[in-house]
Amino acid sequence: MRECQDETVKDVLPELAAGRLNPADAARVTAHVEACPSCAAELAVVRAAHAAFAASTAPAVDIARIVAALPTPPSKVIELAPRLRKRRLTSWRIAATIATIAVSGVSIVALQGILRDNKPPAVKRVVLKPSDAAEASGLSVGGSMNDLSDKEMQTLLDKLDELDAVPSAEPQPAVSGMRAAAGVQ
Amino acid sequence: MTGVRPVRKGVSPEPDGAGSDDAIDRELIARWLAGDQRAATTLVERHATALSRFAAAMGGMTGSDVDELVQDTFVRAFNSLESFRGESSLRTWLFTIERRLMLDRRRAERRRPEKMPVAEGDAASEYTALDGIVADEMQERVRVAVDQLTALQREVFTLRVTEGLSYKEIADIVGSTEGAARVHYHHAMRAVKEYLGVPHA
Repeated sequence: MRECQDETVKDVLPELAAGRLNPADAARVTAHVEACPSCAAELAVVRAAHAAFAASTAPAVDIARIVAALPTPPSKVIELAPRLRKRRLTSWRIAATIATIAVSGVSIVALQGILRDNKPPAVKRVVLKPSDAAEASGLSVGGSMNDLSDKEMQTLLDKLDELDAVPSAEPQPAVSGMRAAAGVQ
Repeated sequence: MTGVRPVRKGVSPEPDGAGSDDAIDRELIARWLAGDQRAATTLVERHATALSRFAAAMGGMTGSDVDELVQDTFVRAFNSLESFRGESSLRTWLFTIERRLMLDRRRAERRRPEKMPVAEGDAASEYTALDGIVADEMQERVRVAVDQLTALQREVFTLRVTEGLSYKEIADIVGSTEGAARVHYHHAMRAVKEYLGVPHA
């Protein structure tokens, strides 16, 4: 038999038989095979082998039985994630509520102190913070929390819910801040 | 040269492993991991035939042996699907698992002396004998020729010609190197040609 002039062709005959060559390569290989008895003989073997073990001769497998035997997807882990997240948010809300109540309490104590001593204490800054927050949220929290009606309390809690539950200490995107600080564009 | 023929498509009933097929597999795996049981059915449907074909080509197994082996392969795969990194294609990974199970079984069989090995020159496998499949003569002779290869040559040859896998993929499955897979394939092809009386040039 005449020697094959292009050894790269034999290397891709299985791909040709399996239909895995792109159209351009398939055309080039097919053209070579038609002119090369050595490659044509090998392609015949490859095709016969491919056909010998093709799907029609493979034992049938019971897909439904296989699927029934499979483990269940680990979906529980995936389901838990949002719940955990929610719980974390809720705990932040509780913390925020407690903090607000505590600060309000401090402000009342501070106001009482101011009234009694009649001198502006350093705690004035503490007084400003909750009122700022209240204004920002459209709420006016004055006096004791005990003085709030149920409806006002509910409004306060709703507003707290609307506030970003993530503390202001949450890290900001560090890179942009650092770039700005460094004057980098 | 003018007679350019279109590529023979659809030789294999399921789509062959192009990049997009890997993407489809990855998508199905993600869906299954998120709790979609139907994705498992699709994954099994996509790969069961190839696994069955490979097992049958290795010989010495009945139809129900192959069915059981394919099921065990999927059960193993799905149990560790979370750890599948997608570095190889899913099908390559499944072949690797199936091959390991086949080797384990063969080792277990060897420890059971009452089971006789399939006689040399026997038509392909118990499966083909049992099911009485009469294939075209050339195909039958190829099967007999493949049966006479060494186990490793048979694996490499089958994965190459039946599945059209690359030497790299085959090397991953049989735990060898690309170069070694190439050499095994060429030796196997030479032996098959010799058996069939096809000159090797």
